[in-house]
Amino acid sequence: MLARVFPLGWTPAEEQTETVIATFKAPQGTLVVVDDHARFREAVTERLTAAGWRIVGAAATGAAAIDLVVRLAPDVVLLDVVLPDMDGFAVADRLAAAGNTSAVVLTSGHDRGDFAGRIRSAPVRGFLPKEMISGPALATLLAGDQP
Amino acid sequence: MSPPRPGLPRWAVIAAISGAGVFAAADAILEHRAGIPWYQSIPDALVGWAYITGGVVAFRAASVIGGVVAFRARRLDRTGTLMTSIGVIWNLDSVALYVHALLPYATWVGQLVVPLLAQLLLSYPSRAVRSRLERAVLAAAYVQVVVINGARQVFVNLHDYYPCPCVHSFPTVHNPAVFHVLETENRIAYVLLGGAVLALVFRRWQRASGPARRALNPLWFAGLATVTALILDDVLGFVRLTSAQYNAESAVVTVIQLSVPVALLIGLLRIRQSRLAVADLVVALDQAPGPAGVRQALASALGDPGLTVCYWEPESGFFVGADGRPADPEPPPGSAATEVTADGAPLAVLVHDGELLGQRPLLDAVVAAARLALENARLQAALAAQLEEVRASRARIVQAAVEERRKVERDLHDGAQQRLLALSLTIAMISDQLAAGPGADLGLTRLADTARSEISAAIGELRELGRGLHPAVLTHEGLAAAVETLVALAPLPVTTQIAPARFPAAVEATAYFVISEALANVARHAQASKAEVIADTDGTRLIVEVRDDGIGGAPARGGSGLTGLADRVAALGGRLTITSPVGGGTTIRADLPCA
Repeated sequence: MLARVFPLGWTPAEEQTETVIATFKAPQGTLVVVDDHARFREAVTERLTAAGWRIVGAAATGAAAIDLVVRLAPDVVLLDVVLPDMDGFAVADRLAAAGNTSAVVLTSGHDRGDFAGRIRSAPVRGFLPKEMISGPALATLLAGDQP
Repeated sequence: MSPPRPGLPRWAVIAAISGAGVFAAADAILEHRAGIPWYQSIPDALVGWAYITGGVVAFRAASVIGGVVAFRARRLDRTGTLMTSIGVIWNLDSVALYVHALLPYATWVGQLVVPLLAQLLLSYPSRAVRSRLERAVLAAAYVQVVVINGARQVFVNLHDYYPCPCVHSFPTVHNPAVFHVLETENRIAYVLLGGAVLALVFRRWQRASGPARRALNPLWFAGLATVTALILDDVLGFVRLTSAQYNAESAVVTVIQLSVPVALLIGLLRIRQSRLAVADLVVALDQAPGPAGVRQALASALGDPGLTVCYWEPESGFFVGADGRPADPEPPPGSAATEVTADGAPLAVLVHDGELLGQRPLLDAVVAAARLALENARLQAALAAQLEEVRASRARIVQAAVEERRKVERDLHDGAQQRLLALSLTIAMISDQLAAGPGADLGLTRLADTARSEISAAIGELRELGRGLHPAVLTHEGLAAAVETLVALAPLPVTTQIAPARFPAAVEATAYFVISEALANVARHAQASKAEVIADTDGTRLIVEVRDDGIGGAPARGGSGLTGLADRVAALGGRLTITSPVGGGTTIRADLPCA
């Protein structure tokens, strides 16, 4: 099955197989956004791009995300917990099992508390509530090693 | 139904049978002393005794059944009268051997045994003699014996028959010619009547269904043997036998005659057994009411463990089982259905072993005894059906409500909240750019920050709203994780012990909200220093308990918050209980089916 990857700003209805944005070494590193809400992917991309991150890919489903991340090996994966096909924990587990070394940062519109202990036990770098996503917040989270 | 009558007491039964035994012994001795050999007098006396005993057993069976099936009791009484009369008449004739003046009368009365026996054979054990043919034969038998045989006695010369010094005491003249004509007519009539009765019994036997025929078998063969013997005896009357030949022939005929009362007695004892079953049934119905109890009582009274009862439901026009679910009263092969009506309207159908049709009296008696209980059971089955329906619909309503709330929560999260989150990021970017740009406009930056914090507040409120509808953590992580989020917010130390299993959404949601409300009450009213939450399951039930060490004394209904939850718990078929002795802490316990 072809990975379903959506170009930034496109709606899933337009279903392109994948989009890889031309890469150049950004000051903050490369990042893949995984979220099933197109409008949110767009906002995150704009905000983090402005903060110096290079968004190299985006995916709307867990399966597409795994495919994309394994191929692109970005520095960071910003991973929504609630996805249509599987949850973010399962994606993180599979990436870890595939030997991927990208730093996975979970995000969600829900509270951290809504996922309780699972964030602590998952192979991820940490959790950022969606409204808190910003360059500095991401940098702080990645610098400190605790979630 | 007639009012129940006092039963024939056991002592009376024993006294009657013993008395008849003494009577029979006296008869045998008297006959012997009059010159009749033992081998003839003893079987003869035994026949009378057996008839009387059968009659007493019939009375007893009729009194056990009492007012339950009045018409059957009356017919059993008639059977008892017939058998007792036959027995008494049978053993009474020996008196005339000593009081010779009575001889003509004794012979006359003694012949009454013949029509009485015919009537007994046609009505046994509790049947109405209704057919015109049967009535005609019986009437002919009575006329023959009472009128014609009576007339014959007028003209008899006793010296021709009995070697006794008796005088002819009948107040008429002896006329050998007339006597001879009547004597011949009498013998021919007996042969014809005997043949007719035999044919009628055969017809009854032939028309009966398998089991009923088997029940009539002993009577039929005994009746056949007896009537044949009597006809032969009658025919032999035309032949002059020697005294020894006559005695031997009489003895054989008498022994054969014994078979009828014995067969009747066995049948009546069986009927009495079934009457006792009915008596037990009445007691069992009283002790085990309800559709299941009624079915069990009927099954054991009829000796058919597979018996089922289908109740007619007039409102829906269906038959329903004891559990209130629709049932099919069509009997499978080998089974039969017996309809029970009340005031002419269908009440229930018993589906039972087809063999039971052969025990129609038992079936009728059992049905009559159980009718009232069946009516009650039908009402209960109907109520059970309605209750089952209400219960199911209440559970469906709660499940639908939980599902609806989950859906609203998801829609809020996926819709409005995602847009607000994206908007929040966009405004944050605007704010950043305003701040970083040349000639930063502090006023605009402040406005953007205000907008962003407003949006954050809106996101927070939406999140709270969603949590109140159906916490996402419950959907994603289950009860244990959801309770941890509640505990984290509690203003006092709470220990938890939550089974990690997942349950149906409605059960998880109800358990969660019970714990949430209970912890809120602990914080508000209990003045407790600590609390404990336990959720345990055995796979079929989820037991949730919230305990505190506070002041207790909570109202048993638990206030308005818990009342609504108690209703939700009950709607899922569970129970919410509150134990709160003053000074002894409070325990709120919800017991929820979760299979």
